[in-house]
Amino acid sequence: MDKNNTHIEDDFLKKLISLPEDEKLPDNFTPKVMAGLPKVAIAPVEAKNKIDLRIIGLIAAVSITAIFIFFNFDFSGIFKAAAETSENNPVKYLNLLTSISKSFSDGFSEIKITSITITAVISLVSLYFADKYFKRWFNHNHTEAF
Amino acid sequence: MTFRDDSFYIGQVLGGDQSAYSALVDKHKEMVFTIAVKILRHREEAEEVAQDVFLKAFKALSSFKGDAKFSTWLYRIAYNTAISQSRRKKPVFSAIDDEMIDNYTTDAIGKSVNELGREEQITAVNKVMEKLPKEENLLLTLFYKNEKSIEDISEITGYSQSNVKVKLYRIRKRMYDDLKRYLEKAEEQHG
Repeated sequence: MDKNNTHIEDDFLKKLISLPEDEKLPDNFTPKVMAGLPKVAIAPVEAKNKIDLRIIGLIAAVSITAIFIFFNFDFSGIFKAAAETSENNPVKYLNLLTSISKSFSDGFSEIKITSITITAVISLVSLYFADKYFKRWFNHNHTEAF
Repeated sequence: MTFRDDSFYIGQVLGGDQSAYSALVDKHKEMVFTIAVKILRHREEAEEVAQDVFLKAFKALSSFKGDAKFSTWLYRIAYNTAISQSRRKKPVFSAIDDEMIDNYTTDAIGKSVNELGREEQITAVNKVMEKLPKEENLLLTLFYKNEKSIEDISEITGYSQSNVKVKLYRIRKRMYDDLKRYLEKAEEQHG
């Protein structure tokens, strides 16, 4: 017993309550239970929540980032680059990849702590804790349902 | 009878050997019945509930994840089933009247109780425990008689650990208070 239980520990009461004999179950209790079993099949393992909260979190994070980038950076340069490189020499399409990666690196280098980034961070943290909470709640309610 | 670890039998049952479930029933039936009988206070009804509990547990065995002990999981099913059954019958009034918990000295009560014969002690304890609300009777039994930990009781009943401790503290006081009254009454009758 831990030390915090000193106010409820009581050997005298323990001894006293142990005096009365419990009523016993009849000997045929187990066979009676077992006789009821063949009629039922063990339920298959329940499918997990169809929508995993972590996936929702991931989708939300990606969406927030995409929206942020879309509204904050000029992507017209990419399309311009595509037009320029593809006109005469299709091989120059490869330059498009460089152009895209450059746009992204430019874009991310300009990410500062704005209200949008704070919102994104808060959303992610909230989703993480919501995930934990719902998992706990689901496990708890699983026995509650009986 | 010696039993192996619960997980052994669970594995066998889930592997298709239903007969292994009888070991789990044998191992836990008394505790499941104790929970049911303390809540329902009716032997036959408690027996039916105990059967129902094992059936429910069997059906849901594949969903038992092993995060908690199987026994705690099973006892929680027993507790919920018994509570649901008792609510179908009549409302439960389980408030403890704080005013009733007056001054008492454990030593004085202990001395008086020790002077009684074994049968008289049993009668006294039974009478006093019968007066306790069902859930309190169960908490007392789980903690003092079955020596379940606060953590286990919390898992079984759904009360927080601190709530279980507070309840036990108050029930213990009440128990002594009622014992004192019972002993005084008995003394009056004899005198």
